[in-house]
Amino acid sequence: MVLFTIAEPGQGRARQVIKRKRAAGIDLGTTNSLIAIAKDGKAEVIADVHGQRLLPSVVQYRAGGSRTVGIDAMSPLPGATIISSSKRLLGRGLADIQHQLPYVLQDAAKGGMVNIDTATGPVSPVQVAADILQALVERATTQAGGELDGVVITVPAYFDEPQRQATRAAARIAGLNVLRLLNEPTAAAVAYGLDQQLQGTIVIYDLGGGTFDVSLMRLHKGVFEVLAIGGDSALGGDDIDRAIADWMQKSSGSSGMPVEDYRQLLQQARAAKHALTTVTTTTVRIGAWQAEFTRSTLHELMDSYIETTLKACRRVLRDAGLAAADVTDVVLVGGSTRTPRVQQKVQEFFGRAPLCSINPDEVVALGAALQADVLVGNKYGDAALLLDVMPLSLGVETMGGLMEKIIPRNSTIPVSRAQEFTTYKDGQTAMSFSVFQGERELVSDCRSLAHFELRGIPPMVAGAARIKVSFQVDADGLLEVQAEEMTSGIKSSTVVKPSFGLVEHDILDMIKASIESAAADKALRTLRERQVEAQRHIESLKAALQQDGESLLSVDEKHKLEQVMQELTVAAAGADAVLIERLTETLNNQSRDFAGRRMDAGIKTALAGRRLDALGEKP
Amino acid sequence: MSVTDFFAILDMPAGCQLDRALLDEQYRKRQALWHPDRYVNASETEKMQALQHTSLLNDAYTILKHPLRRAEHLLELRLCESGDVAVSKLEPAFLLQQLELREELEELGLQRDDAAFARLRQTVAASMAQHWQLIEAEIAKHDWCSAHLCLQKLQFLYKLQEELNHLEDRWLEN
Repeated sequence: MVLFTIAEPGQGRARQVIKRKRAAGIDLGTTNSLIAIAKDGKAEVIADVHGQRLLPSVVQYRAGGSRTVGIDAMSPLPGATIISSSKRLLGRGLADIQHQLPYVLQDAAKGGMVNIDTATGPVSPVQVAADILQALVERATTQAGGELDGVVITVPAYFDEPQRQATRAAARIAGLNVLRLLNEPTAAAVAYGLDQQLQGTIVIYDLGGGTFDVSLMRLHKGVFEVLAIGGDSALGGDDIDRAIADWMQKSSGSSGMPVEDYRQLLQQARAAKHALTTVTTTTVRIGAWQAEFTRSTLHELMDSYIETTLKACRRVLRDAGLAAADVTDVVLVGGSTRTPRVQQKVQEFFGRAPLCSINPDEVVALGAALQADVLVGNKYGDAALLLDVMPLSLGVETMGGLMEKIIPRNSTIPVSRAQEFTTYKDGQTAMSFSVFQGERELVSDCRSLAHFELRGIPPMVAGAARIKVSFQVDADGLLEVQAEEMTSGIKSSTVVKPSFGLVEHDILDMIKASIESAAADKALRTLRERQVEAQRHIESLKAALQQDGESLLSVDEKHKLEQVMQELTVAAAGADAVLIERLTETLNNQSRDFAGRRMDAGIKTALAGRRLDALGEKP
Repeated sequence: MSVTDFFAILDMPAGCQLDRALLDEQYRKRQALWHPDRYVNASETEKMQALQHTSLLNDAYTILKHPLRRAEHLLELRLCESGDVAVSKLEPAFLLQQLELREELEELGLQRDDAAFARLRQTVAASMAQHWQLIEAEIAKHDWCSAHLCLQKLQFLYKLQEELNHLEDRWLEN
């Protein structure tokens, strides 16, 4: 009798990766951004030519269209516009922004995303993010050798869909292949879990410049499971700076400042806040007015913000059914956690001293780089596995503008759920669906994501049709919604890609502008990509045939597959990108049935528990 | 209509009681094998199957983790196999008792009383424990219909407990 083992399809080709790919982790922060690259399981932040690791998330736009990013952008030139903290505007409409900013906003048409008035004309926050991303990638290419195959960009866990999509759009404009948007606290946990072998039930408290996230995770033998997340996507160190600036304005009796003066006031407020981490009092001035700004005044100004973060911590614990005492470690992330008051309050709340052994400014980028290395295909088997959750509930609008939740918040992804609905009128032949995200009862308080229709329902009496609405969220957090009338089988579906006022052709225009000069490179890049893709398919099929070709295929079937594989091998050595693509497609189609049989065989053994036991005995 | 057996998917013995550490272990092992992140270099078909299988694993884990939802699933499976039809005819005495408990809760909502709240919580917890014993006895006798009736009572009690938690949260927040 022939004995053979079945290895799961993903692992079989672990040892056959053609060449090591280059992937980076990017922390696109409100105040600072940075990029890191992992090599041999260790991640490292890439500095610029001057050795600076943090890139201030500041872009200066000048008349005539030139721009600078980072430290150089912070000193104003006459007539130029300096944009900072624009992450807070990503995926947001004017109505969402309720505080004073050191620049002027324009509302876009139809309640879409805001634009910023600059010396070069209106600029979308997506463009600002793209400019920052480009500056970071340049570091990676010049300082750490060569093009990137892919990136993992981190986002606040509490970012909603429009904010995530805006981040993706920025990456597309910057010409980046996004492997995943990773939640910032999750990325921090990866860094602690892999670098410091942290285990147990961990709280990640992440207070950045403009966002607050709290994440409750279980770290166990390389599996990092997010139990619950919460936070506020518009709360951070910036708010404290603003509170200080407002206090200064009020105390000095000055008001109605021009934007440039207000920008300087904010800088002074931030400097005073930083100074108070080491001394107990510092002097602040506006014009001729000056005053002592003490630590106790700072505490008065910031305590209500800290209390808001602790409320979110309480909710996250409740969502996971745990108490503060169940938490084994608390990790601090984000520059704002350097404030002694924040550390003190967090320690009081959880009853234990928080950890900050990895630089809180860098930990997110480091974790993202480690995960990028896995997702680009460099690591298998022993690689850490992240089980992340949906931060906010997803649902559809029902009669009366109510939100019917289909996927509750904190559901581990990937996840699929379905719910049945029916018609409310006799003879109704169409039904429209509006998809929303949020926790509130009324859809008017939630964020609208997409809208689609199901047509051609056979006329029936009200309530007789059975319409199944299915939500599928993949490991990237991308949502696909499908509606099907069960008695007739008619279907309609949509992939949710909310662009929030930024229509597809705007994104394409921005992309075009950024790559116009590189058109020739692009054709070459396409060819390389297709060659690599073809090679990947050939290698994976070879491995599969070697393992299961004899047992799952007839001689004839096996022969046919080998023939197409041979044709593709020849084509991939040439320069005809179209031919390579066509043959890759053919190979993929012809091997689908084989892949299905392998998967079935795999599932059968897994369900019987046999394969797992066998796996445990592997060296 | 057939029901997906979540116990089988995670290779757990089917029952009301369950070894939580074993459940976590079984879930993590399977996720480590099937998670889409393990299939980044695989074909579209394999990716799709990994996506579907892990979605199913996540569903199974969510249900089995929660005692009430686990019992609901168990009885759904058993009723489906046996072809028995569950009836929902709760005794008036039970319903009356529920009404009284709810009235107590409403009063507490108007007027905070920590001692009365603790007593109410205790009553609900005791009643839940009692019904869990009953349901396990019925399951042991393979009397799925009686077990299902008992389950319905537990659903009332869990709902009540949830509202007690909400009220407590409200007090904590203010």
